[in-house]
Amino acid sequence: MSEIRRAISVAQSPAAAAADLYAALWQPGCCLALVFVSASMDLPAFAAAIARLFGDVPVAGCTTSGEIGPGGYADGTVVGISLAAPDFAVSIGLIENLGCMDLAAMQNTVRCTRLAMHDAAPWARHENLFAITLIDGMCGCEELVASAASAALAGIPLCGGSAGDGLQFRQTFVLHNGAFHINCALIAVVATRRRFQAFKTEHFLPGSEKMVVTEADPRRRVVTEINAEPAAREYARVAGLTLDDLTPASFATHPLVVRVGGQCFVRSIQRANPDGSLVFLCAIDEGVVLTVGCAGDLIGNLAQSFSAIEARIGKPDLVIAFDCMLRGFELDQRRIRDTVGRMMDDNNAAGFCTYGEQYEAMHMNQTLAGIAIGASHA
Amino acid sequence: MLAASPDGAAVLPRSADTAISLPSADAAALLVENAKLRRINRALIAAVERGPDIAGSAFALFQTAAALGNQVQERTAALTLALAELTRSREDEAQAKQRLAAAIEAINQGIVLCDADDRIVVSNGRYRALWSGLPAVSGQRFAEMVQGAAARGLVAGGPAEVAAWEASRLERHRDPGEPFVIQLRDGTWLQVSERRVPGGGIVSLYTDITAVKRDEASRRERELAEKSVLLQATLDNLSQGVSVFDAQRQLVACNPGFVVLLGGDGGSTPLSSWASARLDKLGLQFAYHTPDQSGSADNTGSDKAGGDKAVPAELRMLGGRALEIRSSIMPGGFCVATYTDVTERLTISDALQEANEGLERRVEMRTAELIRANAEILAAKAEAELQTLSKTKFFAAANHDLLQPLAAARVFASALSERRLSPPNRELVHHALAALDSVDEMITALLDIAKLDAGVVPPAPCSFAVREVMMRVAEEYGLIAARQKLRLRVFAGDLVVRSDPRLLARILRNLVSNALRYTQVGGVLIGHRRVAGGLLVGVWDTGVGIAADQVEEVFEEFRRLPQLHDRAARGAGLGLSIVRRVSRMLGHRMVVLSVPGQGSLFGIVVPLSDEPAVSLQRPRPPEAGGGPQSLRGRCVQLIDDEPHVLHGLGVLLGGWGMQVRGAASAAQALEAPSEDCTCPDLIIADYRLQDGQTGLDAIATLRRRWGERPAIVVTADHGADVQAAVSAAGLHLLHKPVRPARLRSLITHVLQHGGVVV
Repeated sequence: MSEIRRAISVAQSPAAAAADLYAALWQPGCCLALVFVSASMDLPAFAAAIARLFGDVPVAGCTTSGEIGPGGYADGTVVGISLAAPDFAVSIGLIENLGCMDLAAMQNTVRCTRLAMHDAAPWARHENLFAITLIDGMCGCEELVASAASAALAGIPLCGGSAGDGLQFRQTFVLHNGAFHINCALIAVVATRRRFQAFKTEHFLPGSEKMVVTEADPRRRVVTEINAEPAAREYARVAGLTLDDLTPASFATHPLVVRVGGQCFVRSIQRANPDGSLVFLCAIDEGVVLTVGCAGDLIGNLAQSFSAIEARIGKPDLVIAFDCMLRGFELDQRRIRDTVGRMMDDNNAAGFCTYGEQYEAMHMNQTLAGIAIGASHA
Repeated sequence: MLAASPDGAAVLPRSADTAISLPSADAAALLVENAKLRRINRALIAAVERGPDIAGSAFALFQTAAALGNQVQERTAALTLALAELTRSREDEAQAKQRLAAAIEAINQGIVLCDADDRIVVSNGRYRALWSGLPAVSGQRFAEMVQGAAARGLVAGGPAEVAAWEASRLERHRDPGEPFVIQLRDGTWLQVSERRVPGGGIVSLYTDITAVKRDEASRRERELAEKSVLLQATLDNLSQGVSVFDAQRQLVACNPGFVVLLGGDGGSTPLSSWASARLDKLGLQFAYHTPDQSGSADNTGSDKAGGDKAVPAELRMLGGRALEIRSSIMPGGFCVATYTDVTERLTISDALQEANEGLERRVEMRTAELIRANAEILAAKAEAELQTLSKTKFFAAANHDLLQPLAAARVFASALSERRLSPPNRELVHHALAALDSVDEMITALLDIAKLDAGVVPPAPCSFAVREVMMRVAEEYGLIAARQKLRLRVFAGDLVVRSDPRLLARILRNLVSNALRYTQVGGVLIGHRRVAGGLLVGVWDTGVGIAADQVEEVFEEFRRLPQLHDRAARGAGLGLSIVRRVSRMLGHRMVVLSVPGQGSLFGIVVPLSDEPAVSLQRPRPPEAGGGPQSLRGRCVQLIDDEPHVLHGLGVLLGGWGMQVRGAASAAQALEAPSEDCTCPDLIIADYRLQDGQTGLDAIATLRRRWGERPAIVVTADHGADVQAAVSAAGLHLLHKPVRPARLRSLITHVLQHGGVVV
């Protein structure tokens, strides 16, 4: 279909990468270009080049910890998607100064973005809309953004990802208006005449031994004690690891799982500090009960999700995928990266590896969340 | 120990083995474990007590989102949706207001909307432009607006009118109804429509209709101008003069006819000014004359719809011309006058008058002449009447004096012929009788002609059955025809004609007599035939006929046809002459058709009548077959003052075997009784007796003595009065000279039928 295009550029030069994407993505009636840019790219040059090329067409995006595009998983590349009228219309808003934690301001920005949709697509009804969030992965307040956005969007399906920077955990960026920004969240409200489906998938089960966070700094997502023991040591003890084993790969395979409302959610550890505390990639607090989860069948889960999607909307024309970078460790350990990459490519996935995924009002880790867009009209 | 130190948790950690000595390592481990559990416990309790405080913790947000999941999301969704709809509807409302405002502004009419308190809610630029300079701000009272408009002099009219307008405008505004019109001082015309709106307000619509008004006015002006031109053309072509004076008696309009009357040539321009100057020059103001301008206008002008008032026509002379002036006062004091040159008319009128008078004179003259002629005619008529009277007397006398001796001669000759005579003597007596008959006939005819010419026999027409007359004539001539061996027949239908039966009978008698005279073989037919104009009653014969060129001759007196020389003695040649006279008198047309050697038709055309037939009360002719024997031995009393008539009749009657008594009067008859006949069967009396007595008197006298018995009156007087008197007495009348055959048949008849006319 001409109204949806996805592309990948392996060019290292920002101008070449921008030109590649422009050549592949630009189409008549183009209303949005989403680009997922490797953190190794010369970001300011790329931002200027792509903005110049697309002109009036909005270009949004963020930095990644790996890309998903034609061919499956990639690293150090630029992946892009474009949507075009008449099947699509887009309205974009940017929430700045995330550190201020101003919930009302966030909601207002989101609401305005949503209202602008009336002018962009008068035909769009509530059920024609979905939203995409791209959030600075180092801001530490994705929960607030997701909650505000979800509330302001009144139940419009919402998916998104936190920007990455390889696995450096230093600075992540959101691309908007020809520039990369930190401490910002971008929200894109998309109207489509096509059938679509938001989805998330995870494959971890809770473990048997429960731990209680006895001391934590929720603002910094730091847990210092678990079970009144130093957090790292206690985690390592429960997970059956040594303190030296506390690397992202181990965190990926031995995730901490919290049970809320009958569901299990992974609380991923970013790193272990030398003082024995653990830094998390999502919200954590004292009194939270954790277990060390065990991995389930990733491929089976994924296949099940895709078949469910296909049952609902048919074979997707596009899956905008937000895949947790920790899943990548599992893929490598289990040597299924190519297999899963093919599955993704088969379903026309394009996206990136995140520092966290937003699904509805939640910010989560170690999941695959996304929006699947069908070929047929609703 | 553990139990003795309630605050062990604060004391024990990490340094427990050094701070206090414990009985065993297990105990120490338990103490540590206990401390950790207390911390866990505290953390859990804190978490539970803290609850899902959104503002407090990001994890709480996550927790809430995850726990409440769809439930919260659904509610939030509904809320947000409502919020969005609200926002949208607010936007829509704002947009609608904006559009409405734009629409109101776009309208070409002025609009102002007032609320229930009559304050202006909204007005458009057009409205503000129409009321130029008037601040029509929202919240202002409408009344203030109107007052402002009046105060600023925006409305046309004087102060009083504007004040009235203000009042009526507010009145109309309070009770909106039909659209009305306002004129502004700048000449703008506004049509105002007001209407109440739901909620108590009033919306007013101001439409600028100046252009329409202007069009209307210009159209009206154009029409007026056209009419004016037409009127002027009409006036210009009038032969009469027309002038219009205004209330100040100044000439404002006139036509060429007026100018010509004033002595101009009609081509002068401008007419009015020329005519004004001319009027001044002549010192005339004649065109404007009003009997009583103001007073009468009020009295008579007010009841007329048109308001104009005609002033009676006036006749004036101007430069030797006679003018008839008719004027009318028009509304506004204008006087319209028409001037008609009636000089010609007057001249003609005079001539007519003259002619009329001449005619009257002539009529008088003629009348006098006529009166004179009338007098002469009257005198002549009187003389003629006198002559007629004397003629009548003469004829009566002549009849009597001529016919009386002749009758006597006939009676004697007849009596002589009854006697035994030698053949030569008998021959002589026959000749004598024939000669007497001829003389009698001729004299009778001559007398008839004389009487007809003298007009002493006035026709008495009536409607009667023509057959009766025809039959009677046929009966009268039956014997004669039989003697000549001719057939005499009657062909007659039941037809009623209008004529004088007696005169018709006389005509027929003459015609039958003539026909028998000139017919030797064949027959004579008395008949009729319908022809144009009535019924041809005539006599057809198979006689000698007359040539066409001789037809006129036969009507001349004493004319007889040469074919009958040998029988000339049989007719006097007066018959047809009488017929012509009688038919002329009756107004009947004569018809003659004849073929020499074949026969002739002589007849008259009598008008048919629709009226019922009058019975002809005439004595029936005596029936045939009464032989001399029937009279034998019957006694008859004769009364006549002429002795030789008395004697002659006595001889004749005695010859028929009757016993005869003669007397000069009734008295004498009674005085001289007879031995033979004391009571006669029959009385025969002359009408005119001595001493002024009549036969009727005598009969009456004798009847009184002898009782009722048949009687016959004989007279030489052919007058109608005698006839009438005799008929009135119910007696039979026989004219002299008495013909023995008729007398005998009548006597036979009366003796058989009692002598009364049936």
